[in-house]
Amino acid sequence: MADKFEVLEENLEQFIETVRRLGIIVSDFPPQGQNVLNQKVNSMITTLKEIENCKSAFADVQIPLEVFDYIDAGKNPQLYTKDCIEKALMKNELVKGKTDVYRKFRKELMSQLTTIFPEQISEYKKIREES
Amino acid sequence: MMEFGANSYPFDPEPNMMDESEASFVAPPDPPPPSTSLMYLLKDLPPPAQMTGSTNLLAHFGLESTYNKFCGKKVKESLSSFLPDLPGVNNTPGREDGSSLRGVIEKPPIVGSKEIQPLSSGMLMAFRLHPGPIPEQYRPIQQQTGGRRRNKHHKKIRPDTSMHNPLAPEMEEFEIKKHKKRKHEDGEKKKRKKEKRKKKEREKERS
Repeated sequence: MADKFEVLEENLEQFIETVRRLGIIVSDFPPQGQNVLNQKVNSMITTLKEIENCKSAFADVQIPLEVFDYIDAGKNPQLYTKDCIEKALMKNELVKGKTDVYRKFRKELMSQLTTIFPEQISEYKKIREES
Repeated sequence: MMEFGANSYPFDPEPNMMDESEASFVAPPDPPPPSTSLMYLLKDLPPPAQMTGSTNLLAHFGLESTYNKFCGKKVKESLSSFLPDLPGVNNTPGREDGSSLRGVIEKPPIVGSKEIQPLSSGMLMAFRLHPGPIPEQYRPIQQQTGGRRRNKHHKKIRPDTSMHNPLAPEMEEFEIKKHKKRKHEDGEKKKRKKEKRKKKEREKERS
């Protein structure tokens, strides 16, 4: 069975092509073109029906709404993917930076506390090792 | 300074206190065993998280190739570069020509329970047209912008689609006629080029 996305793509291509050809016929209508026009109108409707039939197969497909903003602005939707990955990487780096800084801070705090409260810290370390 | 009357004062200054004789005391819970430790407020550490931001999450989820694909090289910005086979220029904002996808969500189309059915011959009477060209401003965009994209689109059409389409041969005739015109134009160009070459040769001979 062909991939459902492929089927939909084919149907959409067919529909666009039919509409394009309709445009060509209508823009310079030939004297005996009425039958061709009628058949084109009906083939357009048939393709629309096929697209409608595909609808049920896409109930589980989720699309991020933000991608529509890119398409509506006349931008390449791949830019959305790119922006998402870049954002994820940036946040990942940010969090890693924070954890590294906290780790360094903890180390420094422990060393300073050890010099000032050596007994308490040794006891603390002992408890932590046990748990 | 304003003073509250005894009756108007809403707050009861003497709440009903229970007499000590009536009060029954619940035995307090057993005190925790005396700890020798000074760390009596120490809490247990939270369980270690399996996955945190300290690891490279792109590498962990195997998205490095995706990163290289989209962020390694420059992605073309225009929508038409993503849909090169689509006829016409479609980089204009969707809100301008009412083709925005957000608009479909905000104002969903009316979908009835009626099935989509081809038009009957009687209905098709409404589509009767007079022969002849339409004014320039109403012509389809793809005709105005040239046929480069359109030709690309033809390449992508699968051979079996023309089998389903009974009108394909007729439409091909339309296309062939246009191609013939182009061929004719090409011939004229060649003639002009030939003439130019001849002129150059003559000039060379003279010199």
